[in-house]
Amino acid sequence: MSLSDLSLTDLRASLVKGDVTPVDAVDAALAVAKARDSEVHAFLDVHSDAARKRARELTDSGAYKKLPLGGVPVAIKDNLCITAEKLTCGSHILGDYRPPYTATAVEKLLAAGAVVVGKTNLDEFAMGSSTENSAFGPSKNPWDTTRAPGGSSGGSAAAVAAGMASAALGSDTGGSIRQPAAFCGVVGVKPTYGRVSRYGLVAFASSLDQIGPFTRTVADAALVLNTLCGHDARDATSASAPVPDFTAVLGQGLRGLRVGIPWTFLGDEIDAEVRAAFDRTVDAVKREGATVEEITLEYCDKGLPAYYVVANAEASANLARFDGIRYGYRAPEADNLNDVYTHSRRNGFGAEVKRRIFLGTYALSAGYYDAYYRRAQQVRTLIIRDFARAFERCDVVMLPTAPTTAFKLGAKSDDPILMYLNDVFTIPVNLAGLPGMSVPAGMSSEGLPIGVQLISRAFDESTMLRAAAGIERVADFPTGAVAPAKKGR
Amino acid sequence: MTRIDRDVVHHLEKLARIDLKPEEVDTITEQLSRIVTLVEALQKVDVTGIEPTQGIAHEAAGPLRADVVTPGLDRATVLAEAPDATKEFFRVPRVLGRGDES
Repeated sequence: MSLSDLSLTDLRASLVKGDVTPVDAVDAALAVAKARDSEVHAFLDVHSDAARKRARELTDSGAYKKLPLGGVPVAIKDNLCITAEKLTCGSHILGDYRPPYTATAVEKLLAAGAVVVGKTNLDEFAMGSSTENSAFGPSKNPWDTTRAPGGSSGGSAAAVAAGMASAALGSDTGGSIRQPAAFCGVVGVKPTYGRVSRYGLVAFASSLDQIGPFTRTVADAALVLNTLCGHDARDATSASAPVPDFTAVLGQGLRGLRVGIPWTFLGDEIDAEVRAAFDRTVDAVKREGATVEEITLEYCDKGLPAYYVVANAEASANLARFDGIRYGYRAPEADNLNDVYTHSRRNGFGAEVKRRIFLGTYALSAGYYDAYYRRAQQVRTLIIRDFARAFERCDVVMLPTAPTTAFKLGAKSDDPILMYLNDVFTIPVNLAGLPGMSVPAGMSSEGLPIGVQLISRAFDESTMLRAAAGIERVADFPTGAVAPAKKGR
Repeated sequence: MTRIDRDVVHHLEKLARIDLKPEEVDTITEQLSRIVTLVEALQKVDVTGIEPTQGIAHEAAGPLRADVVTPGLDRATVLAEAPDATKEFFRVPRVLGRGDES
């Protein structure tokens, strides 16, 4: 077994024992990136020199043995700032921007001894479900490189799935961690809104965005969350709730848990193999001693329209800062101030970003505010109540993560609505501010991973992780597997 | 409820400060119409008496930091990222009229 195939937990055990060094671990990750990333395109920028230098320093000092993520290679979605490292958000509008500060989430990983191996690809400004909206070309799914890795954090999911990093950070506004995790056969966690500081994350929709980890096992995700979570004075929405040791409950199993399933919300537009894997998971959690409760999420089928109003209204305001004045690209031909704005934004933004800014602007414009924006916020209240009622009867809610397995590149890129439907099961969780995660639960007949999604009460990630660990043990998926290198078929 | 036509899109171009390329106008008009039709599903929900949720506040009030001055970003470092700047300020082209009228 190659070093890059080890789970983060096992890699740490080898590092602590002294079998391997941070230099070995980082070299192994960089070697996989070198061998596979010309095909997968998970990275926009590989920080080979900086990563090797830091790994050497950690190895020489020996400090890594005592640090929780000491010597672990990690990848960072390219909408998170690292001082003096290029930041693109998958867009041309940021030009050659190099931020003068580092995101808190990245600082915490670094303080825990992790080594950043590079910045990963994403849909432009995290707007998309396939990474095909990246201005720098799509990432490919490591399980089948003719298919999308999902998105928007597709580069991070692909990097972890292919063994180019032991963990990666993504951001999730409507499913952008969970859906690519499901498509790439890895674990992806969107923590409770407020759990992880967003200082240094380029904002998409501020009432929905949350940072979280990708890993190959549930235990690995718990370890990374231990480092990531906690209050930060630099993010006004950051919560002061105490952070437990998320690894503590992983061995407790499913016995006694009440798992809620909103059967009517599942509908009939789910791919048959995804549905079959979900049904097998329901049977498995019953066998393992959990009780299954039928719940109703009455308004969650309105989550998609409510999301596309709320998220894009917020995006239209957040993306106003990209105006060609303070950083990034400025249209060279503009010779008055208004043209600097209108031309820089025309040339700098891609089609999906423009579409969403226009929709958000429309929803906020005079005469439509009450009909769209206010009404969407009212539906959001109803969705929050749906979950509150559900959690009176269960401890975790279980849903498919996405209605399909990874689709072919290009299959949905001409039809925005078809693309949006990917997120039908993940969006309500962001609207309610709850924690949600995807864990591999099976494999399709074509060899494509299938995920199930678990959702828990606010700040109760522990219960969600415990359930996920239970499912991981019995799932029809090789725990912690790296996608084998092979040609697309 | 509303038809998205080219006039609406031209109005949005002004509000959003994005001049679309001519070839983009028809595409975005058609796509916005379809998305707005999707969003119309919200009109079917009875929201009488329901308070709108503007943001998630799991905690009653956010903790406040101490009211002390902390270092901000270094000015020279920040200005170095601007497309055009002096030593102290961001620089923009003239605000009124055309550059060739000076």
